[in-house]
Amino acid sequence: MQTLSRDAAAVKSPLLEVSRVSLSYELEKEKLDVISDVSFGLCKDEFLGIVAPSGAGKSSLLRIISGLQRPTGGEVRVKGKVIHSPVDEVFMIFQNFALLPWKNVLENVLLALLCKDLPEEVRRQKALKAIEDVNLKGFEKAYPGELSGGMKQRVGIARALALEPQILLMDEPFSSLDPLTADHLRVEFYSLLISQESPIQAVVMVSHNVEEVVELADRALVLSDRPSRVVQDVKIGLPRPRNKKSQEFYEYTDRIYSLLT
Amino acid sequence: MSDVIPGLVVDTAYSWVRMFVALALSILFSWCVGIAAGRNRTAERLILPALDVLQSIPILGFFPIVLVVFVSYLPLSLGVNLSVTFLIFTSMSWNIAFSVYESVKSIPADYLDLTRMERMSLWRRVTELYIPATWGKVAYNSATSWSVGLFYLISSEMFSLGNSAYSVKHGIGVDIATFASQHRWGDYALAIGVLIAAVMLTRFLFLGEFSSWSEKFKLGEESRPPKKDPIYRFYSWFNAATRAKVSSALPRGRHLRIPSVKLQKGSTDLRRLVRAVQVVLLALLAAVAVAAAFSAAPNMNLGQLGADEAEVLVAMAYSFLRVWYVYAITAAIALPLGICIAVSDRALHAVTPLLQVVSAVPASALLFPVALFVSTLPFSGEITAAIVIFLGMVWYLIFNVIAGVRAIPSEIRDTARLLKVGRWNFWRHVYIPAALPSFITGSITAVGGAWNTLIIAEYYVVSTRGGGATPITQVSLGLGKLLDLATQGGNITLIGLCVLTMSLFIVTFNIAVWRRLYNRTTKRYSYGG
Repeated sequence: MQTLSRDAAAVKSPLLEVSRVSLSYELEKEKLDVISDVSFGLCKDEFLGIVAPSGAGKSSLLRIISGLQRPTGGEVRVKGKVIHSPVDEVFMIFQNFALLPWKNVLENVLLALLCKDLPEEVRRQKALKAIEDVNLKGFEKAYPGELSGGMKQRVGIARALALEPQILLMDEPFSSLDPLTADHLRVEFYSLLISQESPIQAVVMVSHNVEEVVELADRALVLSDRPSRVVQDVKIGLPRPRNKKSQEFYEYTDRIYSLLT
Repeated sequence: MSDVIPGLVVDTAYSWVRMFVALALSILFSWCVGIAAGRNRTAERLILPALDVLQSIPILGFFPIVLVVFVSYLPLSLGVNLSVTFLIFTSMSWNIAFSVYESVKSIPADYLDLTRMERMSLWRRVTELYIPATWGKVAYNSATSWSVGLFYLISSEMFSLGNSAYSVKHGIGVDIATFASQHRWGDYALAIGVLIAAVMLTRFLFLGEFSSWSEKFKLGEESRPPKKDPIYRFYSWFNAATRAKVSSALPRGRHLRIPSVKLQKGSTDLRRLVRAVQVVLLALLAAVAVAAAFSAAPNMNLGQLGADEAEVLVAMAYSFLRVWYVYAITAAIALPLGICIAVSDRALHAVTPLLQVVSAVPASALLFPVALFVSTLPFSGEITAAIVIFLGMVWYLIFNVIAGVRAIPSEIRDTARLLKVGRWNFWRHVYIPAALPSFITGSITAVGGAWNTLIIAEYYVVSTRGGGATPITQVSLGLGKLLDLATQGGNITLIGLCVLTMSLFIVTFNIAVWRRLYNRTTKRYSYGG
């Protein structure tokens, strides 16, 4: 009986728990609060969008969740375990792609598999499959400098796919692309990452683009300006695929905008 | 002991006046030549090859000219001062001239159209557009030129030719050489201290400010907000300065092509004329060289010339090996050390002030204690030369490696950490490749500088006024030594051969190896968003 109830609890417990996280810097006697007491949870198959004004510490929050940075208060748990450094289950996609300019597309994706205990050939197959999934077949030997912004972000996505994390963090993933490319990639990206066979079980995306969050997310976490606090956790109950021109879509964006200001 | 300090400060002031005059002359010269070459295609075709040749002439190659022109015909004190200033000028000016040319060439067309629409006079165009457009690169090149000039200041304030010794009256270089040759090491240390202080003050109050002031003249580029961290600023400044020097100083191979017989289709008469002038100039140059060689050595015969050239080639082979084995050692130390320092914020902040102080001393000023220290060892001349070359190279490499590693975008570091690639893979896939382009840039400057360092590293005598020549160090064989001896003995033929052979070799090497390597690494390794 006891084991069974513990299992039941494990299923219910969220994949990611952020509890009472705060971050502050000491700046010449002054204390600068960046994040103040932020808590939220993320369950399997959930897409969380975090919206906040520019410079509100969104990126810092993501870095804390990823284990890259220690919070000054509170803790982050992944599958119930408190994390102190990067863990296998979490990976991040960056605004500026973070590709190594001296490695070609294939080598960049292979880098993600470097520390997996896999035979050389399997790694290669996985990397090639990921590159094919993001529609970059034929560009394996190209260097990042030869690719457009959209293609670079595709490589970033391929790297995440190959790594197969359970939680994917995204820091403004579409904001350094031109609007048309961004629109395109958003749609494609959603069907790719949230598909049934995808290993990715939950996504946290940070953005200052409200429309983008309403288009993609199941929940939007609205944060205040510095120091960041949770203003509201908005559940976005729109059916998918979402129509950006519908009345409901406008209502959601309006509501989030008014929460932001 | 401390009573020498006021004297040292005064002498440093004298030396600094020479340095600033040489720098000002270099910039003026660069504007005249560089703007002319950048504006006018005819001028471009004549000036660029001339600069390419001039910059590959080892600085001591200018020595005989200097002596003949300045010392023989002018009152001694003025002549010697002018000689020193001119020598510093020759070590400073070529890369600044190239940078002016490049800046003028890269002025966006819009600005040129604007000046045309506003019907600006040539003078106003020069003062309102061309000169401001060159400030950025001129400032960064001035910084590297300054340290090169300092190296020659120290060793040229006191020089000897045959039996006569010349020396300026006041100069920190004279003090250093005098104290060292009289073994007054306490005073020597004070002189080095004053020198360091002066270099640091100049770096921060003048050169650093100069380059940040020049940033506002950037055309057609949004200025980026400068990073606040002074340590980071220092390294990126140093790297920018080295890059400016390298991109300006590497010969663009195409300008060196001897005019071919095949003229391009649609070539105008003017172009034909330019070609003709080029050929005539080259022929004249060759004729002058031959005539000079013959008149200098009336009883010279071809056999002697051949023997001399053979001697030069052997000496050059020795020097080549010397430069490259020292470079290999320096690189093997500087690359890992630079990365180790750069990856840790704490190490970087702790070590940087120390590095800045130590690097402020030109290698030529450290020659004396080094030579004394190793004098009891076997091959002491060889070891001294190696240490002096090492000291001349090592800062270019370490500082540039640090700049390269620090310039890695934080997102790339984060990615590597998230991927948990491990320490060795971090070095192999991230740090070393990231440091590579700036490491190559630093290497080009370091090796290029080393060829000039040879002149002091391979052979050095101090001749005190009234006293005889005191040998400080010498190697068995080397081009620098040969050139020194030829200059001492007034053997113009041998000087000519040395300079010609060395220049040809350096130009060829620059085009065949460095230019290619540089182009390839800078192209592939830029982050570019």
